[in-house]
Amino acid sequence: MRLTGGFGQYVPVSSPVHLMDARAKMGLVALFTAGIFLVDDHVGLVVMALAVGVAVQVSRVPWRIALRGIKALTIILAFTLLAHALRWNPATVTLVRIGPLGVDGPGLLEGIFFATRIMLLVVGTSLLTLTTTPVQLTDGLEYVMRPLRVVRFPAGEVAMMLTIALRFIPTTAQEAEKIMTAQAARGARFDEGGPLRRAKAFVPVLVPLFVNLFRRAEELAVAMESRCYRGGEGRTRLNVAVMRPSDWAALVLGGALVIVIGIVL
Amino acid sequence: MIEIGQVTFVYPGAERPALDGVSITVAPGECVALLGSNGSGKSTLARMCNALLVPEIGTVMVDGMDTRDHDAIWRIRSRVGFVQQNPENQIVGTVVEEDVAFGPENLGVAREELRTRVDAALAAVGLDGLQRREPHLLSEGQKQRLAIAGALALEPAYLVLDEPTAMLDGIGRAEVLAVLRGLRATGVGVLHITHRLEDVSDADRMVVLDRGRVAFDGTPDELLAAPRHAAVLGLDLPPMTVLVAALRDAGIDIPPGALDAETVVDALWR
Amino acid sequence: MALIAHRLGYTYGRNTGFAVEAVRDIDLEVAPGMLVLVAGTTGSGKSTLLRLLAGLLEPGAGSVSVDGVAPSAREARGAVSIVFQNPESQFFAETVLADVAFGPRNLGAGDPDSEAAQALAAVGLDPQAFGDRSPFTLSGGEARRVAIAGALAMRAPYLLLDEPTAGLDAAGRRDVVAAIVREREQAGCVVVTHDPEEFLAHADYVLVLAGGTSVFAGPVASVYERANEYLAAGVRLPELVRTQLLARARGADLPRMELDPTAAAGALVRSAREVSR
Repeated sequence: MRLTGGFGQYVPVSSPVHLMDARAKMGLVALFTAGIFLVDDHVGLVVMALAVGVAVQVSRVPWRIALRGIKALTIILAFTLLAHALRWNPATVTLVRIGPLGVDGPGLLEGIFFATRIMLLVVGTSLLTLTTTPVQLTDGLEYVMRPLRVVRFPAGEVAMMLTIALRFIPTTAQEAEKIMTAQAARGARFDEGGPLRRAKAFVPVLVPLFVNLFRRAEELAVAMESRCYRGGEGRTRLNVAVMRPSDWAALVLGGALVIVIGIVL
Repeated sequence: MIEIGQVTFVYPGAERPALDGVSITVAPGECVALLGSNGSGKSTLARMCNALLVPEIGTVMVDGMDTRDHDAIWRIRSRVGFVQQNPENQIVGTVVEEDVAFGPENLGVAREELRTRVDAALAAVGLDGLQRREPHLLSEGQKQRLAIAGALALEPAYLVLDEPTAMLDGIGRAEVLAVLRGLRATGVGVLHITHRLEDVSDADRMVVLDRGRVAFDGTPDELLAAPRHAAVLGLDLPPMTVLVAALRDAGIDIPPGALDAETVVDALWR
Repeated sequence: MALIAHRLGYTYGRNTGFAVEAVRDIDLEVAPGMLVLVAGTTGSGKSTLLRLLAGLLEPGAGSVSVDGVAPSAREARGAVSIVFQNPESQFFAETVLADVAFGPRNLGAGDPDSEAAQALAAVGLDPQAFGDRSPFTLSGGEARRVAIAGALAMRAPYLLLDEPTAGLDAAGRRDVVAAIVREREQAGCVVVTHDPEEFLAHADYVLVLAGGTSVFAGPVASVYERANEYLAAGVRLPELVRTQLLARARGADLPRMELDPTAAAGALVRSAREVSR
């Protein structure tokens, strides 16, 4: 497995954060999100940033990967900065002036505050997917969705669907590659012409991919029925995630910390 | 005992029945080979054994349970394991052990026993140690053995395999056949559907289907002694079987089921 | 006029820590009219060799040339056709004819449908009967042959096939072997297989790979003379051939290796009677 992944993709190193129960992490992320929106001044933000920094360090995820999400958001961040920083005919001392628009000290600080808040949110929440495997996430999600069964929401079945989708991602990717190579060997070109032409060139790849997907689904359904799958009710699990005292401690303390920071600072 | 009695089945819109008055039995511990060319009804019959399909005429009984009995379906499916042709499309789990556990998990088996069953099933197919492996990293032969393990984890009394080696290369085929041979000692009744005669030359009984009807039901020796009959039925005859038949015609005394060079040459030199 | 590999080598992931040498020091020469078998177990490098010959991979060492130029060069476009494993999983068109015509259409042929019809006939499928059918309704053997027709329609002088009979029943395999044998009249064919038995009767040359290198190479007739070498290379000899070799070892006079069981039976009975006299 490569250490470099797409934005937010699981990084397979070992750390206390990786070993934490997925549900505790999901809970922490929720509390962190609440906390960070409660922060209303710069000191609070700096303390939050320190907290996030400590979390990244403890997770042993390489910093350049942890910060990758920021790169994708450059435009939004710039826009946020400007939206807060630019003033119309500011009365105070300005740092920059372009016609009627100006950037002054307080405006700039405000812009930095909001932009930084977005950055912290991105880095903090991406830690969840960086340290938790898709399977752990799916299991955690099923647990969280369980109360919805009261309103007839098929939590178990949805989780099974997600698991199967995850299981078949590498397989489907391999298959797509094979089909593309085969069609290329028959002279198909995927890099010629404008966007419309290129999209049409993918039809000979997408059609067989979908046909095979349906065939696959049918055979899989037969296999599942043959192995007595009747939906999510009554199923036991081989590997069940258990919340350990350390998970509870992390959740409660970490959660309390971010809420306190938010309220006090 | 799996008892298929005078079963007739027609697919919607089909011109002729896929199965027409077919009767076959599989006793506990018995290995029955089901042969026939494409369109003979082999796959349809396989799906009758675990109530995926139910007959229009006739009955299919599994240890006394009727496959048409809705209440018995899940007990039947835990009694009859089913393995299909394509290894890839039977694997549900994201890692090997989770996939093997899928069946007993559905039955609500307690967690400690799940672990025991998973490890036992993996050992039975020679995949012990690969518990945490991701399926897409397995060879085709390993994937098919994983599918077999998934069926064995239900602790079935019977195992129905629909062309289990059709999509495998020589190595994968040898691995799967070795596993099936090993299973015979455990008392599991096996219905092995295939078009390759040499894969099932050591079966207890061979049944040949031809256009939905039973054209032969007897021992392998009886079938191999009449290779022209087998060829007419569209069976994939190993060249050695044709050779042995020609030699027997010329008066040489060789057992009709002989498939190896040594036996033939020894017989010639006597 | 030939497809030539000279001291061919290829390593996957060469500059990473996970380099795998898939092919090493392979020589091969294929001319139109020849049928070459490349045998070996999974992982022996057969598929990589095929991709190198098709120009889909650039050689890491040595060279591949088709009539003097690299197969990936623009001048060589359409010179080498390749049929991958399970090619029927790439069908996308509504009719068989349209799918087979895809290749010639991409290459700019004047009348792709006509080329497609001819290719279908070449694999033993009547274009009138099969042309309008959906490719998704065909039997295993028919689908395989339609996919092969898709490659034949491009009229390349060299045809590479990766396990063309894998997964088919006896009838399907017979039809595919017949189609390839017919095609070798026009094109130089390289068939990769882990089970060379069914092609042995028709092939001119055998190359056996193990671990990426050649462990046996020579005309098919030499397979029988050098049987021990062939076996040591890890390829199973047809049991029928082994029987005759064993008989020879015991003194039987079998001048020719018979690949048809009935003919072999006759020869064996005659020679056994000679020996016992």
